[in-house]
Amino acid sequence: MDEFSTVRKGQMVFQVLLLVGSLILFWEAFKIEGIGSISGSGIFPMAAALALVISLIVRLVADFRQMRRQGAERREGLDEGFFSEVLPLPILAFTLVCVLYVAAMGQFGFWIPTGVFMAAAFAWLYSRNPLKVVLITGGAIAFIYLVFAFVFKVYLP
Amino acid sequence: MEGDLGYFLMAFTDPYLLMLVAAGTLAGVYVGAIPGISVTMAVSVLISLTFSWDLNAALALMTGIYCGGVYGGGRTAILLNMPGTPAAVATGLDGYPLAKLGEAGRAIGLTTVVSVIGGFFGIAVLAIGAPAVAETALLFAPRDFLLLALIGLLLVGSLSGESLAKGVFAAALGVMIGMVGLDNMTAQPRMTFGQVSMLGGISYVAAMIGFFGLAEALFQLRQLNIKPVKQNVDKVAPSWGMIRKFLPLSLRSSVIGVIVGALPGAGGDIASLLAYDQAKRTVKNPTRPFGAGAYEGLVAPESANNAAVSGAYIPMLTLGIPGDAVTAVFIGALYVHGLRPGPMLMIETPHLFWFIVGTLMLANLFLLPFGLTGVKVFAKIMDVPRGVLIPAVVVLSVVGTYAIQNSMTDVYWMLAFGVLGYFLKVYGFPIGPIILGVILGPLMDVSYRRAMLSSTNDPGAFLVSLVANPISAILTAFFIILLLSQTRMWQSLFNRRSKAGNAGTSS
Repeated sequence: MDEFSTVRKGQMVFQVLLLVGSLILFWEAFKIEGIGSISGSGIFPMAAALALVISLIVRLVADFRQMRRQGAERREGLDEGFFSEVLPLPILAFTLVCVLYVAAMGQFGFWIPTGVFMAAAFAWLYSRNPLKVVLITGGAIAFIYLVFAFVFKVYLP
Repeated sequence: MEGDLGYFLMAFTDPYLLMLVAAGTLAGVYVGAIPGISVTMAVSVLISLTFSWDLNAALALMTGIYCGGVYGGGRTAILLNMPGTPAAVATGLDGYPLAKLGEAGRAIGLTTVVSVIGGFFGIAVLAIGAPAVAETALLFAPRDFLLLALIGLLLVGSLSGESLAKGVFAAALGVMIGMVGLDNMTAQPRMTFGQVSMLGGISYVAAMIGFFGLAEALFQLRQLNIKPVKQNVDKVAPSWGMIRKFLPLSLRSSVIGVIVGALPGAGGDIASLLAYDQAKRTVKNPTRPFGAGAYEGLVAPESANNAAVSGAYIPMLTLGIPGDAVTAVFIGALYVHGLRPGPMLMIETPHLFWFIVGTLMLANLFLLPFGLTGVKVFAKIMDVPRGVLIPAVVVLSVVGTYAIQNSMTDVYWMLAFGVLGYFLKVYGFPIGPIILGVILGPLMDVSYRRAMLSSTNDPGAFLVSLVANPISAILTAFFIILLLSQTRMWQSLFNRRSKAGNAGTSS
């Protein structure tokens, strides 16, 4: 199947980054007790990190060959194709909004950031009508409060 | 025996549990049907929300969601050609053509009935087979658990993605996540990068919700503007003649479903595809050609994926090894409630086993009325705009992650796993093996080290022990065959033999 799968924009860069991360994990696993006992606590993390490294090298080699087959028109790189094919700007922006939402929760608690996040997200992704947005956000907040505070009795951030 | 029967009937006789199973099944049908909300995601979030509940109540709700969800995924596959769950991919191959022919109602009705047949078949096998497997499992040595876990990871890694290397990467990533924290045997910190906050490990619920919840929500943003096609839905209930006609195929497919479901790591998605393939090869005169609206193409996958649900419980309850991603999450739920799934669970808490069998039976019974009625209402609810759904999933993911330990660190991990999971999905890495790796990693680690210690740290003696008794020898042989089957040499040999077979038949 590999022969027919295409290499997407940024895939090689992503896999190289994963490989670097895997090598760091391998080093961290090695630091547990080096090449110590064969039943030591570091042996399995090292084996898992090695599996990460080897599988990524296999993928990189296969994808490199595939890229050469795919030709020059699909050259690897972070050009405009990456943002249209892999990480469209709305997804990048939404991810950043999610990060801001979680970060704000650490400062302002659960309800205010959640209300603002939902209102902004509904306005952006669903409807520009302010009344609709307010109603849906209010309904969602009431639903969360009712279900989580009363039914599931969970603590909220 | 009487006590077992009492626990089996508990969910039938306790109105609160009965209501929870019914609510869970109904919710599951809708959750499974809404593309973008997977059953695994729903059950992951529910673990954290129900962990303060009584175990029986939590299990009743989650079992209902699981059964309903696997069934519900088939509905969107039929109506919109968008499988609500991976287990419904094969259903759409003939289900959607049937809908285009104006037979969506009958297709949904038949799907409901064969799903229930598959479900009951799986429950019967679970009730009869699991106690026997548990007794055998008591004879398992640590090396056997290691082999089983390796088989599970290899199976799910090789079958669930576009390349074995990507599957292995995903499984190893899960194992790595499971390794973080203090070592179970020596209390030595591992993979913590010197951070005190990582000594307790990474919450697997945070990993599950990140990879299945947030990552899926981000991924769904790519399909924000796809408009569903409306279908006419009438004449839902199938005739007796139709049911009788497809009963043998349904039972055959259920056998495939329950066997595949019981294999560690392989679940309803693989079972349904295999059953579809088997039906395509063995049914001589289908109602229509396969792929053009054959009812046989609907019966086979839907019977198999529901039978696989009960099948997946067998390794989970008897060995502590998940049958698929959802049962991996169930293992997490049992851990949260202080139980350790494995051979001793069946001996020490047999009531739990019979309670689960009872709730599965009840959930399957509820599928019939829920499946055969309210299809028009269903079609309306299914149209929830993704612009509303996606932000809601994000908030649910945050609440679900925080609830488990009241820790913002878990929420940050969930966010990181969500973003990583998005890229992994875009680049074709399977997500299922990650969760199995998280659950199986610590089990493999401890099993391997115990097996090695019992071989006095001698690798030669360890290798000999892998074939020293029948159980280990069978598992080792299965593992080696599985490994070899992934090589090009094996595949070319197999292709050559099947070509030779075809040539022989045609001549």
